[in-house]
Amino acid sequence: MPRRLLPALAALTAALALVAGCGSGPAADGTGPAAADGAFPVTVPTAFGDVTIPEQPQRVVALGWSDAETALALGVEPVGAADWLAIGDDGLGPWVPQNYTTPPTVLGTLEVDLEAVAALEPDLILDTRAAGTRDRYDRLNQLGVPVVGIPAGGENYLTTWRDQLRTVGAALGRAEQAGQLQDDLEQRFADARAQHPQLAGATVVSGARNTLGEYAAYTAGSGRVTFLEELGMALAPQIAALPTEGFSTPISRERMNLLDADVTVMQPIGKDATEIENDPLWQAVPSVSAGRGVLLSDRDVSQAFSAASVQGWTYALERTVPRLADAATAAP
Amino acid sequence: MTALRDTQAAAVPGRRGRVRRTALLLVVLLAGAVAASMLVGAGHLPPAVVADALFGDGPVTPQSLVVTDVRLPRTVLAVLAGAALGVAGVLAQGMTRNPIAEPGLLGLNSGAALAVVLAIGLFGVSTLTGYVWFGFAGAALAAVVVGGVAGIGRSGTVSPAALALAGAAVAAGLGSVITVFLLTNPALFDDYRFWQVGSVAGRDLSIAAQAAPFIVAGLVIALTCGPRLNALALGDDVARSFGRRPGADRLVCGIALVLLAGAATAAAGPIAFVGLAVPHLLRGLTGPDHRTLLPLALPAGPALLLLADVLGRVVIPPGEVQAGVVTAVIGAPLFVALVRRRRVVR
Repeated sequence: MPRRLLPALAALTAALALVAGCGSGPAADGTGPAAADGAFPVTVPTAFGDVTIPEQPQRVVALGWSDAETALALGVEPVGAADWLAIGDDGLGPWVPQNYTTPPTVLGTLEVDLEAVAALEPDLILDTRAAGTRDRYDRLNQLGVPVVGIPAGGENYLTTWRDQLRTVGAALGRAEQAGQLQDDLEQRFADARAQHPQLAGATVVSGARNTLGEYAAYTAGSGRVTFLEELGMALAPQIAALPTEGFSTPISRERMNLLDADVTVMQPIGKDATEIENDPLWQAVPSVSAGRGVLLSDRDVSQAFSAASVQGWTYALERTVPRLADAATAAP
Repeated sequence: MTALRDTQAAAVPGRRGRVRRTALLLVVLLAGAVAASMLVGAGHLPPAVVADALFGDGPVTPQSLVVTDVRLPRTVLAVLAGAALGVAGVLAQGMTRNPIAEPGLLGLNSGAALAVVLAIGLFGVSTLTGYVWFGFAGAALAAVVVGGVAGIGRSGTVSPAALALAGAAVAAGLGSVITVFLLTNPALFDDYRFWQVGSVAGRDLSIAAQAAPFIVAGLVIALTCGPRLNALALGDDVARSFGRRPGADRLVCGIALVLLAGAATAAAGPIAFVGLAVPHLLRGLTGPDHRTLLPLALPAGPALLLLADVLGRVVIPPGEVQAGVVTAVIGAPLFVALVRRRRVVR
C-alpha cells in the first residue's frame, strides 16, 4: 500500500509546489520568462519591497541564517558569510557536501559590522533569514548594494526554507536550480511520509534547553516545527495556542508538562545533551517517561535540524525519521 | 565625618528600638519571601502538594519534582546569594566611603565574567558547576589587581577615590578583553550570554553547595567588620589616631567582600542592584552605623532577591524572567527615586 501511495503523494506535492510557486509570482520561481537562469536584471520581492539586481553578482555576502549554504548549494561561493550555528572555520556544517575553493570571511550574526561587510566590496547582500527588522535592513542598505532581505512574513527568523531557497535562487540567477533542489527535498519528505504513515497526525513538541537550564518550545512557522509538519506531524495544540511573536516561546521548568505530546523532540543549545538526559524534570514529561522523547544528542544532527536548509534537512531526515517514527508508533 | 554623627545617632533615644523593629520587620519579610518562593511559581501547585513534597514520603511525581528540583534549589541559592550580595554591598560602600559603590564597581563582576569567558573559550567548560570555580577565582584576582592598582599595601593608606577609580579602570579593561573574546567567537557569546544574565533558576543544589562554604566564611568575617568600617569612615588619619590600623581593616573587609561577591556572582551570575540597594535602603531605615547595617543586610538581601525571583516567575507565563533582569528593571527606577528623594544618603 505505501508503495502505491508514494507516486500519488509525489504528484500531489508537486502540484502543491506548483500552486505555491504560482501564488508568489512567476518571476520568482523560475517559470516566468524573466527568471530564465543567468538572465539579468532580476527583480526579487522582499518584505522591504522589490529589489533589482542589475547583473550576475560576483561578490556575494551571505548574512542570513543558512544563506551561505543555500548559495553554495546553488553553486555560488559567498565572499563573506555569517556563521549562525557557530560551526567555526568556514561556517559550513558537516551536512554540506560542497566545499569552498576560497573560504569566506566569517562575519557576525546578530550584529552587522557594516565596515567589515563594506570591506568585502560586495555586489549583493543576502539577508533572507534574520531578525528582519527595518533597522537592520536600512543599515545594510546604506552600502549602496542590492540587499535581498527577508521575504514577506519572514521576520524573527521565520523565513521558510522554500522562501529562502526561492529568494536566494532568484537573486543569484539560479531560480531553476533552486526549483530542482526544492523538488528533491519535497520528494524526500514525501518518501518519509509514505514509509512511516504513523507520523501522519502525530502531535509533536519541538523544544530546546539552554546552558542555564531554561527550556523553550518552538512555535508554529519556525523551521524546526515546519520540518516535523512536512513529515505529516502536527504541532501539539497546547503549544500552538500560546501567544507568541517569535520563533520560540520560553517554558518554565515548572510547566514542563506543556512539552507532552505524542512525540517530544528536544535539543541542547550549546554543547551538552547529557544535562537534559539527566534532568529529572525532562524525564518526568509524560511522553518522555513513556519512551517517546527524541533527544537530539548528536550536535551535527541537532544543528542540521536547526538549519532549515535543503542540505541540513536532507542530512537530518536520514538521522531523525526512524526515531521519530518509532516514537510515533508507541503513541497511545 | 559620618561616623562622628554615627556615635551621636547611637545615643539618640529610640534608635535602638528602631533597629530592633527594623530587624524584626526584615526577618518577617524574609520568612514571607521564602514562603512565597516555595508556594508561588509559573506552575500552580496547591500548598498541600508543596508541603507533601517537602515533608511527606509520597511517590515522586512531576508536581513533587517541581517543588524539590525547581523551587527548593532556587530558594536556597537566592537566600545564599542574596545574603552575600546584600552584605557585600555594605562592605563595598563602607570600604570606599562611596554610597553608590557595589561589588561591580570594584571590578569583581568583570573579573568573574572574564574568568567565565576564558573557562568557556579556552578550557571548554560548559556547565555551571564548572563555571563556579572560574568565576570565583576571577573575582578574587580582580580584587587583588584593584587593590594593587589603588596602592593597598604600599603605604597602608588608600583613598576611597583611588579604590573606586582603580575598580572602574580595571573593570573597563577587563570588559574590553571580554568583548574581544566574544566578538571573535560567536559560540562563546551564546554560552556567556546565558551566564551573564543573573539568575537563580535552573541551578541545582550542587551549585549552592559549592558556593556555600565561601559565602558562610565571608559572612562570618563580614560580621566583624562593623567597627572596622565605622573606623574607615573617619578617614585613615583620624582612624589611626583612634588606634585603628586602616590597612589591616581594609584587608579583612576586602577578603570578606571577595568571598561574598565572588561566590555569589560565580553561582548566580552578575545580579545587579541588590548590593547597591540593600545598604541604601537600610541606611534610610536605621542610619549609617555599619554594626547594624551588616547584620540587617543578612535578611534584607535574600528577601529582595527572592521577591524579585518570585515576581519573575509569574510575569510572562508559561516562561519566566530571570531574577537578574527583574532586579535591574525594578531596581533602576527605584534607585533613582531613592537618590533623588534623599539626595545621597548621608
